[in-house]
Amino acid sequence: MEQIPFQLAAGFEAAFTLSNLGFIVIGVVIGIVMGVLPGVGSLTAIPILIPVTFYMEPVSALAFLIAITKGGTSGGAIPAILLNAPGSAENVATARDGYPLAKRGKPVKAMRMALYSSVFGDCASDAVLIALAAPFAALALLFGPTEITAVVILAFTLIAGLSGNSLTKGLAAAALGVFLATIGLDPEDGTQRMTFGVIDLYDGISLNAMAIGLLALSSVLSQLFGVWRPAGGPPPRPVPFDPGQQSILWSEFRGCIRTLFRSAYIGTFVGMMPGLGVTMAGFLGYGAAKRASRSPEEFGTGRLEGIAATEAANSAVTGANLIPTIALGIPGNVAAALLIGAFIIHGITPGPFMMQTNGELVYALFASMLIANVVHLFVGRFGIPIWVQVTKVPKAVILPVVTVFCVVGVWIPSNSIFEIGVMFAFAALGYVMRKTGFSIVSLFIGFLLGPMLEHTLRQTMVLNDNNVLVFFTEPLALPFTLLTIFFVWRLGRRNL
Amino acid sequence: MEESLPSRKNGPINDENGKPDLTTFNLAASAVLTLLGVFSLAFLIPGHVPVPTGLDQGLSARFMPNVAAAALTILALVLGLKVLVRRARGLAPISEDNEDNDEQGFGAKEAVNTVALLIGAGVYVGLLSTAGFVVSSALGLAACLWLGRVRNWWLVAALSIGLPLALTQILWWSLTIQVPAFRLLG
Repeated sequence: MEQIPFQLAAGFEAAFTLSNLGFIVIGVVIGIVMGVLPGVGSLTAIPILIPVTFYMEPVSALAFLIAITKGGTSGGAIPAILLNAPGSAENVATARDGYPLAKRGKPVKAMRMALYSSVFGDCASDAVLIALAAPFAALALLFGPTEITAVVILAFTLIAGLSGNSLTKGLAAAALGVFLATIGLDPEDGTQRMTFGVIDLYDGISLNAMAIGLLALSSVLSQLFGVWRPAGGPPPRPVPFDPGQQSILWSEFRGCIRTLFRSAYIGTFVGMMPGLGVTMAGFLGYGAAKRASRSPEEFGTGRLEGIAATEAANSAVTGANLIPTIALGIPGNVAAALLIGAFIIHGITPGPFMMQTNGELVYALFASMLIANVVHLFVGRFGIPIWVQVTKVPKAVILPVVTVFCVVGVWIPSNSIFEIGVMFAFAALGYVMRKTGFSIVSLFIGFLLGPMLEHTLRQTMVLNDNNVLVFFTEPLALPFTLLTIFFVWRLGRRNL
Repeated sequence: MEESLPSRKNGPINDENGKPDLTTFNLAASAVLTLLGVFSLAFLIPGHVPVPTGLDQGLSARFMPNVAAAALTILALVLGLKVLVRRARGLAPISEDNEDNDEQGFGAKEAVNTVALLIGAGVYVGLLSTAGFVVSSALGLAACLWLGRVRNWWLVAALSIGLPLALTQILWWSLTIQVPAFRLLG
């Protein structure tokens, strides 16, 4: 623990390069623009841009992707405030007070509050990540294959149960993901599994094609089908603007400090738990601020506290998500799952050994995250007039363009038309899943963690003579097994 | 107050709370996933995952596919049973939701969209391998913009021709990556 400041200083030395800084700035700008663009969002941007990072240094690549995530969260608040049309689900609660404030002629004030709160949540969460990642990783080093298997199964249960309303459908999606992950050469003995002689399948289904198809393209196409429907209702009226009332007074900001800390704490906690997600953090932060307020009836009428509560909470998820990612190699949500994919692509295996084998890189990444927060503040603050213009680009123009970027995103690393076909197949599957309550997140995380689960489960079975009861007899695995049973019972009772 | 009946406003039937009723789809999904699981366990895995001889250490390559397929089958059966029990008892259908707050429900419109997507993707991939990236993307973009009721023809032309051409040049000059070329004329 006492080593952390020195390692962080070394991390700053490694991260504070012109190229890294440049990629962070570009990442924040892309994140905000993608967040602002109707129907796109940072979760669409990350899988498309991961292939571009193949050509970067690992620190710059990961800092670039994290900067996109940070920018995307606050970018999504801008259409929520200006148009009452949140860029993504995590910004829905922001619109509740942001849009009324904008209608009262204070859109820039609302956007500034959203930005400051977002940066505050990011900073708080990053501080917790830096403080806890090493101790958690040290604890995780005590885990053997049995414990890791138990943790992965617990993560599946939480993600499946909390990302949708039906635990059964979530777990079925995760099982399908694990099944798809077994296609390709067997990691233990090199046997071909379900490749049908297709050379493109020898390495398994491409993670990149699956991520872009399932997460980005299915979302874009789902919205494209919506855009192609006859338009309903009049377009939103432009909000009024009073130049004299756009600054946030110190007294107003001070009045939100308690809310900011509360929401940052909520977002950080939510981020550490697999499956709870950014959207839930935003709503929990908003709800907690409303309950704690002396005048809860004013929430929804344009209170700065409402904006601060949501934005600090949803931004605080980003950093905290990396705690289970770095300590155990288990992602907290889709953004973290995509980052795990990026880690693996750059030759870094997330998990307890990451701090030992890539300690310098991890601290350089932490330093980059802190730098990204400062960049986010300045770029976000001075770019407000530009972001306002970006909200005016119609979906009907943006979404087809993003589709072409999806194709290019698959082509860059693979040069394979087969993988483009795979991407479209997963886009179709993702579209059906989106419409029918099957969790895309569970499928993707099942696919991502499938190889890890197979490796540790096979080790566990071999080491314990195929004795499944080992999950109840190993003292470190037992709590995770009991928690899994508890959550299956609890979430299953709510809606099996 | 007027009693609201289940509506087909957005294609699929909605329950009295406005939530989509996916009972029929869930039954179909349960049947399809069960069949997929059984097919995998009975034919796909035994037929396409060989067990190497002479390896007596560890579990065979079939272990994990079998575990995943068995889990899928059991969960699909549980889903189907759950839906049938709820229907038999006259309970409300399974409450549906997802992480992206997408509009839920799967009716004829969604089925048509899915088929259109697969046909469109097939045509695009076919064109990509024969007519190249620029032609296929230009046609695809123009079609998507036209369907989105973008009628500014200058914008349609600039985007559908300019973007694929620009991306081709950017990929070549910055990453030395060549996009699929026009092959129809050999």
